[in-house]
Amino acid sequence: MLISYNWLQRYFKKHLPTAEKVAEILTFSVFEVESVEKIDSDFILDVKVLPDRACYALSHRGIARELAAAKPDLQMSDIRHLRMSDICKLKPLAIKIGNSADCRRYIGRRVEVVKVRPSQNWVKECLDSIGQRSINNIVDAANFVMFDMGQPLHVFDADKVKGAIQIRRAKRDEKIIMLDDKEIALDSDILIIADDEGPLAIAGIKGGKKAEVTNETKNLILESANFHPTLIRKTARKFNLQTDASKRFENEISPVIAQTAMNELSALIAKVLPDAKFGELVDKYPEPTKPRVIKISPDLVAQKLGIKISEKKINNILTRLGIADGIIPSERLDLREAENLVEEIGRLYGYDKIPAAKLPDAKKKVPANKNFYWGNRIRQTLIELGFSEVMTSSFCSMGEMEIEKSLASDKAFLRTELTNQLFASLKFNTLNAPLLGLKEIKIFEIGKVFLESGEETHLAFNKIAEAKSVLEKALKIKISAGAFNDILEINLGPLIEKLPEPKAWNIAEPKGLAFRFQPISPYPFIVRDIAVFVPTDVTAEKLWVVIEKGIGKEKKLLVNHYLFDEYQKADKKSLAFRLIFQAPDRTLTDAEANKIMEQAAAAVSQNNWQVR
Amino acid sequence: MDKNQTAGHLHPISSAILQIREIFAELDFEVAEGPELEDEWHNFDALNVPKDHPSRDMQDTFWLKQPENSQFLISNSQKEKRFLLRTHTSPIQIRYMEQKIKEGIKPPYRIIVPGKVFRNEATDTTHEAQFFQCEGLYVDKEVSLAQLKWTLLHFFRKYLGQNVEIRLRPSFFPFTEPSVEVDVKFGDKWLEMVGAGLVHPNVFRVVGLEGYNGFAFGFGLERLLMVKHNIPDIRLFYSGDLRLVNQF
Repeated sequence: MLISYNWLQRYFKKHLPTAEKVAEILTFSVFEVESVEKIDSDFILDVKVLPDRACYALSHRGIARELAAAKPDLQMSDIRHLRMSDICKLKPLAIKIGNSADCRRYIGRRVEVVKVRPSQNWVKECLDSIGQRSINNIVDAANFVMFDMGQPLHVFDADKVKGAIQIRRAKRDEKIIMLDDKEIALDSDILIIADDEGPLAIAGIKGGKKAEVTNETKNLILESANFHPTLIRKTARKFNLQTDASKRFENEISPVIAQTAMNELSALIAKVLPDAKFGELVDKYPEPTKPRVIKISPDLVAQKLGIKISEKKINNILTRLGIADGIIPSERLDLREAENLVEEIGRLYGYDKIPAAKLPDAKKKVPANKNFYWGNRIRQTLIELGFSEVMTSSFCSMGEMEIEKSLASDKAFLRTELTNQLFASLKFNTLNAPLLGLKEIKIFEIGKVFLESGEETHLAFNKIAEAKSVLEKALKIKISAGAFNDILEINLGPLIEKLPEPKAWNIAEPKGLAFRFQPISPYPFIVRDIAVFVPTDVTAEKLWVVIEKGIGKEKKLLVNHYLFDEYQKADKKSLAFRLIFQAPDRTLTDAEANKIMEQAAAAVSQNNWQVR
Repeated sequence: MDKNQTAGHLHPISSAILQIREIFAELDFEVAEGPELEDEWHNFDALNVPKDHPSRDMQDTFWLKQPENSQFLISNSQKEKRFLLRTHTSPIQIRYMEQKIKEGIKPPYRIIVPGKVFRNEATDTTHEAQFFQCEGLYVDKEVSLAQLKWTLLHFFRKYLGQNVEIRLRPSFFPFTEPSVEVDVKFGDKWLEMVGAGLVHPNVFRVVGLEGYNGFAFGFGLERLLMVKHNIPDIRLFYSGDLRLVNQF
């Protein structure tokens, strides 16, 4: 939710702390503020309102209340209700709610003799600050009140409405033309606002063209209503019409605030159009919600938070939230039971003041999880044999289990085997073998595969001849499984089932040293060999020192090297090094590598050793 | 890289899991596991995430198409159930407690659950459609936020280093109340690392342990490794690339 700092300031007598400070206060008392952006003379805070608190906090007032609860000395002003001119006797307004489960409350009011024109500057500025386009004084008033206090509102041109306002499910084959001229086909899952002739609006989501407020509009019907959250959510999803209104309704808001919103909308219109005439409120509210009461004991707070907070302090915090004698403010639909109040008390008391309390000693020994134990025993056995573990994607282009909305066509299914991707990994790593300093690639993967019959844990490895018998010996069990391309794939479930329960954990943990990862260059590497005849007393280390010196400052391009061949012939010894060059930021050229090798060879020759 | 090395390398995720197991085993937490292919009830409903509620949108879900004549579905005789790739390791909280109650074993329970989870979101250097989480759950007669704070501080000091600090911020998860986000100060930076809280009473109601208390937490293993070792791209973990693995 975008919150304007200047808009927020309207709620406080004192100057607010800086926008950054406000963001920090909110972050540690209630909501993460994802960004603070300066726009002209204002700051816009992007406040991450999570679903539980959306019922009251998708509004400037909700955020102002939170700020005041966290910092009571900022002194939030009382909400001032604008005075409205007297209520006039206007044409009666008929409202019919089809089903009170769909529409919990509907307040309508006629307003006559209005003049539609551009909004006053302060309204425009407020809306503009949070990225809302100004339309006209009437529509803007409804939007302002929604972003100010959280209740979505709608306004119809009264002269285009024929007969009663009806809140009902649409009929099959009914259609509505939306404000943007798009036609939408409706059905009985859709709640609409209609008149005697047909649909006027999709309830809680968006208005239709038919009763749109235009520059020529003279008379209005104001709507402040409360619709069923799930119904609005499903409809918004179905038509992909997520609006500021639908977002608030789908999170559920209290029907109580509908009346406050109607009063504030009326007052705002009265302020900008002093000659407008306001009719009676028509309030259809079949089952008024009762106030909720939640009691909380200081003992429960102490037990849950792990710190004793005095009853006085608890009551002080609750009062800051408008909770007195356990009576919950109507808009706080998120407060349902004592645990919710524990959170309110904890966060406003300050989580930083909660101590760290050691866990009690457990009375029983921890058993080793059988699957987990044997999985890691297999890993350890293979690692000792020189195998490395890879992990690959669980998704692939073909399989037995299909994803409903996949990220890409090659990730539309779940894998049915590990072999395929292990083979790809093998090919890929073989190309990098010189870089890795490996003569051969030995890898394995342990992971889930997904078959029509359910999921299975598989193990796959290459170099079957090397690994299979060792594994069989380590596990004391015969392994039989299919092989392909020298890759063996085993279903571990039934295999581990046959193994004994582990008596105790006896697998060595890695040390977990804190080293920095060496970035992987995306550019190709170049391999060069150098073989040298040296006297028998010259060691490989000594030769390497000479080669390295020859390479000089180009050494930063040398990413790996190793002695790959050594033999003796009479009074001479041949030593061969393999050098791997790669740049972190570009493709290295052959010419560069050749030059480095020439430098190395020159250094070797200076010692009167012979480069072969 | 050591040229003369004959031993291979554990994948950094497996290596982290073993280290985490060791740290929590000292606190008497045992390892629990569960399916990656999960039903909607365990992943959402039982964890107090109602159907058709915006809180389900917090986790983009991979739903599975219902195959016709699937043996899997028939054998589970749950044709009406919808299946998904688990979006978190939290369903194991439910599965573990259900299992223990079936075995007649009452709390205290202490488990950690390392495992792969899935989110249907576009991938980039910090987001992957698959990643690993480690869940923790402690259930007892009395469990407090102060104990959660101690446990996480203990873990991060053992895993990242003794000078690590943590701080709690308010957050929301349907299955915990209060819910907190835990930031970890590593080097001179505060990093968002863990979602946690006290187990919501509705979760205990679902499994039939009303009146008990607990804490739960969950953190991403890739993020932990990326922070500790300065790894720039989460996608490296599943590339099957030994240039990553062999550094560990």
